[in-house]
Amino acid sequence: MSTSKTALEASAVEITKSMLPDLEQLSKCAEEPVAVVFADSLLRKMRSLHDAHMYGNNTEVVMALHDALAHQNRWINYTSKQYEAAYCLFSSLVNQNTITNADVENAIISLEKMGFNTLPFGTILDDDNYEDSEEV
Amino acid sequence: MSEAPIQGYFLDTSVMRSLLLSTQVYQQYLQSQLTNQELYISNYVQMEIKRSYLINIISFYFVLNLNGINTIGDAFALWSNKFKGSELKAILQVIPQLFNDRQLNFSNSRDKEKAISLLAIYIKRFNLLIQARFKNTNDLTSCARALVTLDVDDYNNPEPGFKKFLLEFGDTKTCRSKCKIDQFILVHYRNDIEKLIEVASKLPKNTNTRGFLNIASLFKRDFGFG
Repeated sequence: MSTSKTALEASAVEITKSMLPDLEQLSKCAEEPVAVVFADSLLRKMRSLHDAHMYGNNTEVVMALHDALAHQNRWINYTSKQYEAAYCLFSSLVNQNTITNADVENAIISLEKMGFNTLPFGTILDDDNYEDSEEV
Repeated sequence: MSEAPIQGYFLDTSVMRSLLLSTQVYQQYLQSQLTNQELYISNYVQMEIKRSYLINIISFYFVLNLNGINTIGDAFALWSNKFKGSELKAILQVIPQLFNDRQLNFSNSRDKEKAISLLAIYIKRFNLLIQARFKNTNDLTSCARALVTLDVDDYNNPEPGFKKFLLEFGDTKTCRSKCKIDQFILVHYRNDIEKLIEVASKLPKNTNTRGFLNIASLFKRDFGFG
């Protein structure tokens, strides 16, 4: 069996577990140039999780953090404390037997409370037109 | 006598929308003005966010899911050719960021399924966070549309939940039959609105007053004030 096929067949929990060492390293060196090594590794694992498991509770939580970190390279702005909190959150998730929809929602809200902006996408809005085209 | 400390801020739709969807710089500016206080909205404000953005993203989800659409690029091309409104343009500016960050190829048909799943995940997260980031207050308009919830139990197959939401949200007849916005405006807050319209009548027309004057003229036009 090829290495790539093995990777694709890894469970969502295994891939999520594989992110933990990167998060742990980031919790120690977030403000240093070497952080890029672990941020890159982390983002690649997150994408590989989505490649292999496009739907699933682990994927939803991981992609929330992915979007917060990947957008405009914001991983560089987050602090060691925030990465440590994310490490604890994902450690807890991978140790659960099952992850319910409520667990997913609570995990995403926890990421937000840690200061990760999981809705980082934005644009210049046209404020004049948002309310005039629809019926109440 | 010293002023009472501010307990929180009630956000109107435009501020809530900017906190969710404007550029990073503008979001940071707003956050700097609203620090350490609770942010309040009403069901009605939440409904307006859903109407002006969430409905469009879900609609775009179905465009991307069409059989005849082979790539992400095809979906954006169809969307941009068919729809012109400012909110629809916002979709064209926001959703590509989601796909780009995931490093999806807009011309490769193999990435279409990934984009569909990513969009479903984003829709669910957006719907969650418009409720979680802000505290809700009583909605005296009793907006029935605001009570329509997006419930998707099975994210391997989100279409039924998305469709149900679109149908119920778009059911104007049923929503109107339960709506009490006329009482809200014409009875409960009639005096306040008349005062606002009087203030508006004395203001000059310029960039700073345009939004306020537009709302005042809507009250005059649609509810017979003034």
